[in-house]
Amino acid sequence: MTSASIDTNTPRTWGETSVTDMPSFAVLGTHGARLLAGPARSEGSELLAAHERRLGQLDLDSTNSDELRDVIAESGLLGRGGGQFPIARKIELAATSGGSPIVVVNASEGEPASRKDRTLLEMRPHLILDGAMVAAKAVNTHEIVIYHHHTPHDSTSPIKRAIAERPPSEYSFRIVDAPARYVAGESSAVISFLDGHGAIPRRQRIPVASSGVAGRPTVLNNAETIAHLALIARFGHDWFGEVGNHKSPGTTLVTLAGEVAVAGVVVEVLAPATIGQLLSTTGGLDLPPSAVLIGGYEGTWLDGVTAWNTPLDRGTLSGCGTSLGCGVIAVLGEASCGLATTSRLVRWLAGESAGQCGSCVFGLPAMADLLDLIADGRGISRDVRQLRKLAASLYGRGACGHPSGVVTLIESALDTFDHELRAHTRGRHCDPTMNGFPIPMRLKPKT
Amino acid sequence: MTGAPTGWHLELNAAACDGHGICSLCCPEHIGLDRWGYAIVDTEPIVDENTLKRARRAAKACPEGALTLQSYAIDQVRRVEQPQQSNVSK
Repeated sequence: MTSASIDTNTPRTWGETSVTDMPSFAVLGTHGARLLAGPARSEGSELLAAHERRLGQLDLDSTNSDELRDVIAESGLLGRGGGQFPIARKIELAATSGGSPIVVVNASEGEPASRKDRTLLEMRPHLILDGAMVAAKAVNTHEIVIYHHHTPHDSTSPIKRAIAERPPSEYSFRIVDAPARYVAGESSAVISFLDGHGAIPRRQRIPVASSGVAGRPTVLNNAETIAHLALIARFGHDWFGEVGNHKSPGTTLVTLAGEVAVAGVVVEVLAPATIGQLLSTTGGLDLPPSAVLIGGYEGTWLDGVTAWNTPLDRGTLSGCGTSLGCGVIAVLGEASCGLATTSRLVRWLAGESAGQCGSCVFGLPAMADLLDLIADGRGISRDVRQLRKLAASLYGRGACGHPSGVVTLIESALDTFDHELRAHTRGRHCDPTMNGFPIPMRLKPKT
Repeated sequence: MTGAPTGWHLELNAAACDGHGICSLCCPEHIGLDRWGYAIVDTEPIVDENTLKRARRAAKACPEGALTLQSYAIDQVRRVEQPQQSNVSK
């Protein structure tokens, strides 16, 4: 391994290494950016001095945990990891469950097309550290864990450097490198890994907030959610609610993927906007695409025309049967086949199973086989019916949401690509194309 | 077991289920098997006394301990006594 030879004590020039080979970020809306405000990407990771010059020092001593909890509750911040659970409820539960709580920042981002948490971690590490301290203060603890997805370009280092930059305080930060697997970011898998087991989901009957790491109350939140807390604590809940709507206040980070001008652009959505506006301003699209996959690989397909006019807003999207989830908006171009693309994704997702539950181990490959058959033009309408039946029977099974997520993807694909489906059952053959839906290879053994 | 049987329901730890299928033989009303033999459990409350008996037998019969009969009261006790579920990785 070459990484062993890198001297970690010498600050690297971030602008020249990992940061530049990642795409830029953008802002959608007229107000100023919030999470992504500050220096441009080319300037690399923001240092503590610059961060405090820009936002002011985070003052946690003049406030108490009750006040902080009130501010967080008033802000109405919803989790940005996919579950969209109000963070205030987690914090309240963790603070009142007894025992000594712990704050875990989930920056694992196992979603292959998502870049938002990685971008925050690389560009604004101090925002995440500040936010984690706010969460810690709110539950009266000093222990913070940053659960990080190990990626080839090693984006832990900006956060490591950011921690080293901080003056000594009562807050302790620990970075944990999680295995680079899709299910490793699932909340119970995070807890399992921090408990010293594998990063695999387990049955979590008690909320993590009341019994998580080693049975301690655990505030487990996505990195973006935590970063929002840093700003809420500084500028208050009224400021936070100026953007967004009453269902989901504040800004949201989304990642563009698929057949767009530059895939992997992270966009901060500041104002009410439609998916069409997002795709035309930052995606370089003039016309609605063939279809859009919303919410990552376990999200839902929407046909392009419908999606074009759909508001890009967590509240509205969850109202119409889809969810912004982890914030990935992936575009399928006119020339690509949605079924072939879905079959490729399902095959990969099936391989990402933790291998614990029969429904996942056998069910997902069986669905992938049927979908391959259909995309290949060898399937008949009976195979489609069988796939639908199998999908319906697998929904809600298993210890975690992985099978249900794959079912959601498949069912929405079958609905959205209805006319392609008919052509395929009459023998149309489509090869999966490389169309901006990244499929990471697993270089490390299963953990 | 004394007291009203209301509020009991079966619960499956899907990660522990190895598809022995004995549960489905014991209590077919609430437990089915998928095409690979893994249990599909109906978690609706069991109101019928005889069904409850069979459900209890099914839970007892599971060699993996994957199937449990739960009541709200038991959940509450577990919260206190056993805050951490054992990990069932294989």
